[in-house]
Amino acid sequence: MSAGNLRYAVLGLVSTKADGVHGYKLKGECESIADEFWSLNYGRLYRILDILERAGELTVADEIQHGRPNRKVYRITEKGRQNLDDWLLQPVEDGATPLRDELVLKLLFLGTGDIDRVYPLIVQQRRIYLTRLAHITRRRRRLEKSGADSNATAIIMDGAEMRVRADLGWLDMIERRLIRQS
Amino acid sequence: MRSRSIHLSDVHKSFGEGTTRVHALRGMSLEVPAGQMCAIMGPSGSGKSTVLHLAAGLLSPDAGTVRLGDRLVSTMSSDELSVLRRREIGIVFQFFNLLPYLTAEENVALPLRLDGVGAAEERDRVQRSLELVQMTHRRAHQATDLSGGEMQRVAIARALAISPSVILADEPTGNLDSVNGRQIIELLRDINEQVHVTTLVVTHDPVWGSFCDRIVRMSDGQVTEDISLNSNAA
Repeated sequence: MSAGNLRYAVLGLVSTKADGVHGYKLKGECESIADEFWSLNYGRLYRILDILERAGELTVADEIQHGRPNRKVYRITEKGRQNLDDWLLQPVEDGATPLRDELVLKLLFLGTGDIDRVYPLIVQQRRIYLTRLAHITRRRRRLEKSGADSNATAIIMDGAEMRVRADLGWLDMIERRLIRQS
Repeated sequence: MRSRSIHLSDVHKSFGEGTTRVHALRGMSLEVPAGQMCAIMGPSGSGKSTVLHLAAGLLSPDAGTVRLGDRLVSTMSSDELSVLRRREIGIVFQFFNLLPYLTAEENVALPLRLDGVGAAEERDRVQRSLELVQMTHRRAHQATDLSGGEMQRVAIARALAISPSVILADEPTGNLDSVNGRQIIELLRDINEQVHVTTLVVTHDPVWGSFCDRIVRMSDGQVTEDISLNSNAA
């Protein structure tokens, strides 16, 4: 996830907590909602919270804890909510950017003429995608069976599944092309 | 019935003669341990269905051996194969193959009647199988009154009724939309987890393959990739 999107992701999560939320709980929420799709360490999370606070999109207040250090509790401000709404309703512009894809770069410089080098790469890459797909499938099944499945999670899972399916289809196309050439 | 492993060892199989001869399998070897759910994937003509038909004893190899557990399928007589299929092998096809004017439960009972199973045991097994596929509420409906997804559930119940040692499914979702297809593959996975029956599924869809413990990819009559999907990390 890009830094810009992370900012809105954190803002979005804080916006769902009417009574505010502290950093530790927020990290847990990130993991329970998006798990492998979104990994965020504490350092990065607190940097983003700090940026949002300085921009006036979040407020922070100390929550007194007896016998333990106080905790910072974050709440979204009116300005933060407005910025989040503006962002939410804007369509996404960043379309296909194939050169950002590491595999595309590799194929570009390997060239599809060298089947002995490209084919093993395709095979290994397919293994990675299928393993990822199995991971998504297991997670989806666990969520469905636990009854914790929500529409939002299902949408994320559908998207992840469709992307891997597209990646696998693309590898099949490359493989067919290699076979035709050989 | 206890689950059996599936073994193909250096199997060759070709169809046709002379210039029209097609080599479907060229020294194919595969071992599916008892209880495993394994997907076979690969392009059309790669030999996927031939593997399934050999494991079911519907075809015999030109060379090599096919075993289910300790039973050597590839040398059995046609009578022995008939008994094996009736008692040990649950087959699920793409096009369901139900008898249209029989009810769901009559279709499920059919292999048991052919095998001379007694009435009380037949009732029990039909009930259990329909429960496993969540179709008890449609038991008295004719096959022609069922939706595609329901027909495939009944076909799976029919395969389960004999308490098979292996289930062989040839594109079981191929004639279904994606919602019903997902439900059928989930059902096969659930059954595999509940009764630990060895399950071999031919599919072209990687998402359905991802429900399995393992994906074997074939090309040109041989295994080209063997991918274990079992992971406790997830």
